[in-house]
Amino acid sequence: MMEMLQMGKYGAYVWSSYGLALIVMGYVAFKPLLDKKTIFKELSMKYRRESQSNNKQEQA
Amino acid sequence: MMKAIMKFIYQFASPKHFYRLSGKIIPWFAWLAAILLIAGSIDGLFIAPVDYQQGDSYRIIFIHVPAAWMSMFIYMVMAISGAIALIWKIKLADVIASSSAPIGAAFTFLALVTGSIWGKPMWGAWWVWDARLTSELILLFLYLGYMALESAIEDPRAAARACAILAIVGVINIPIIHYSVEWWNTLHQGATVTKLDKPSIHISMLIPLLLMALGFKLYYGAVVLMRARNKVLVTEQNNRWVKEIIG
Repeated sequence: MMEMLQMGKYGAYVWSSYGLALIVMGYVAFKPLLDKKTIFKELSMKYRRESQSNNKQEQA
Repeated sequence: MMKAIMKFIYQFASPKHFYRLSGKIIPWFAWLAAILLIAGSIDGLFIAPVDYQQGDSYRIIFIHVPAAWMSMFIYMVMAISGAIALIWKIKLADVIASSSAPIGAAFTFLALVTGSIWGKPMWGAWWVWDARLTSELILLFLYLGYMALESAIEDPRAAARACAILAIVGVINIPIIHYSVEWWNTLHQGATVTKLDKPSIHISMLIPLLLMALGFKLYYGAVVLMRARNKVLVTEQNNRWVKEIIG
């Protein structure tokens, strides 16, 4: 098992390549999920403000 | 007939329709990508035989080559989308192009860095200024320039036009990257898969390579659609359908 993970004498090169790919692609994939949350939160706040100011205008 | 086709395209590319349809497609792309990438990695790391010349170091190929293919593929998507947006004024094409840029930049970065990590044990150098490496580095700068240009111009329509033109002009770099290993003397090995002749890579190494390449494509498909959906929500925020979705 250890022998397989060592990749001959190239373990550091091979694993750093795969690790880097995992980090970069993971970040690129999860960033839009976080962005989506922020957008939903901001837009729903904006819509609430708008409807509140509309209600006030109607009352006035 | 042409009118009917264009009507269909415009309808299909309407933000509301796109948002609904892409929401259905993304999970399929994402799961398929995950399965292919896991299978390809296991095959590439543990099952594919050791290379007689390069030992286990060659296993970097299963990240390096698909990433390099994606770096060029995504650039072509951006240029074609840019052209579509300029000619037919389809806004969604601009959204796809600008959503693609950071993903393309990430793949270009990965191709360059994994190439460098592979180059050190094989060539004895992290970097050489030869045609393949230099033209790929220029591709990274094109992506970064595209993103900088987009954020530098305030009017989104003017920004989209300028970016589309930059993307189209930059296409000249793509054949240079591809043929660089034939046109100039280079340390970089020549094509083993993307040539008209039979691929000169053994099937046991070709399978994980193709699994990874397809996985990377589907991964891009899922991420670009997620990014495009976010952009559509923001630009269409004053429309009723967005208000209904946000609730």
